[in-house]
Amino acid sequence: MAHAGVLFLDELPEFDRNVLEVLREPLESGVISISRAARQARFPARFQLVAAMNPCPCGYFGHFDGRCRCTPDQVARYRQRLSGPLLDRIDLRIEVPAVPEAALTDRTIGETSAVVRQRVTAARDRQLARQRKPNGQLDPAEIDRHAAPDAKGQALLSRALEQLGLSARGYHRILKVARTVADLAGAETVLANHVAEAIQYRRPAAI
Amino acid sequence: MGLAVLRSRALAGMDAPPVAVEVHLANGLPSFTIVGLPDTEVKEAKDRVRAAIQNCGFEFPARRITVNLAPADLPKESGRFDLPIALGILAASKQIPDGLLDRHEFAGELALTGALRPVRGALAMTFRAHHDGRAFVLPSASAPEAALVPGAQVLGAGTLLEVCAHLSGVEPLSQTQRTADGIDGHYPDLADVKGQAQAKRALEVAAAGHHAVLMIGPPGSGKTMLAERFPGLLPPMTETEALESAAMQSLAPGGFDLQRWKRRPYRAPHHTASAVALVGGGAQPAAG
Repeated sequence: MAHAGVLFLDELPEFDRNVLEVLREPLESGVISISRAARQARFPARFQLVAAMNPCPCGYFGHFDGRCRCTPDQVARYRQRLSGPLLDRIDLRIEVPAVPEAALTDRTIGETSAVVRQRVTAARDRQLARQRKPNGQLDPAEIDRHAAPDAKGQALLSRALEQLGLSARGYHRILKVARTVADLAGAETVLANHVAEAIQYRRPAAI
Repeated sequence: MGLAVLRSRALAGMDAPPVAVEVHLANGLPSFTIVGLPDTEVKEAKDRVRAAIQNCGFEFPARRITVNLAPADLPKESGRFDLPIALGILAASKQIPDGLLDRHEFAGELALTGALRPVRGALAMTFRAHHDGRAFVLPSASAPEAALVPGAQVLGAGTLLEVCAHLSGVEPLSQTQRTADGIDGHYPDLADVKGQAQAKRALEVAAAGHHAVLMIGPPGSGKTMLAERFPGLLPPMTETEALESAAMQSLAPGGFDLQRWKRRPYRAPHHTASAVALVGGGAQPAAG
């Protein structure tokens, strides 16, 4: 039902494991096939997954006033509820820290959706013109062709691979995200700073 | 003896395979049977059709009536076969001319008064009917959503009598015009979220490249607010995407709301949702 739209899963670790596992296939292929005794059906499902979770059972791990009382063991167990393969399919992982009081009472207004949307649309157009699909749906061969980074970016990436112990899929995901960052910046090739930003979104420290 | 063949559509997932509705009137004890793997709603069509025909001032033939829904192995559900069955009986008993029947496809649930009630999946059916080059006669409540299919000839009718008048050439139905203008709707604005510059930037990257995102943070830090604003960052829907998305929603029991045309759907299932609820399923596969 969320085809071409957004699927938001709040409290991701609270979902039953098997429920999340069924999402793996459509995330990859963009189609849901349902086979039953009577007949089969295929539904398009190119949705965009947005998930949210707390960092630990009490929710305040890493909070600036140190309210969290969870043991490291509890935190680890909470995070283990997510399967590796599913996490591997999520390109961007970000921390959303609590907002300090100063920022909350700040009167300045941030960027509006319309402004961001213009940039997004321009970047998406660039991708469609180059490869006829968004970067998130590139396969490995296409990544090598369209998203190969420059020498400095490559060096940075191999160092990151070593230190973070990334999977082959993780490697490709970083390149895809780096390609998108480059598209947003309007750059033809993927540069080192684009790769660096992409690696930021995949730090294992976040999970 | 009388025979009439009309065309309608079944629904199988996103697809709408053609269904031929064959009505045969034979001599013998008066009876009314529907064959061709009908579900309960289709079997109940008997009583609705009988009442609707009589209340519209036609005569319900006291003959042996057999209705066949072909192909025989495709399960058929919902009340959308009421209209073709009623028209088939009228055509087979020569109460309306059958000359125009072949150029149309029909779907609609009948009220006992003869009024037409909206049907589910109008968009998917019209898409295929248009592909096969036929006009599609629909209840007027379902017609506007069906008219979203570019170039399709959609005829909206309010009652069984209007359809009969159309088929006998007395008063042709007017074609339903496409009304949705495709101005995309309003989404919550990103500017409402204070701070979180890094998260906003990450969402921008995700929106641009169609990447999945996981946000990790303490309660009340704005994760849900950010997610709600995410559809507004995505590029406008293309015509194909909008049609597919509308067709999906038109299959659901709630139907498709024209206000939502070209609006990115946003679904936030609760965490107790089951696997089937999320991806869809059931004996007759439905979307989730």
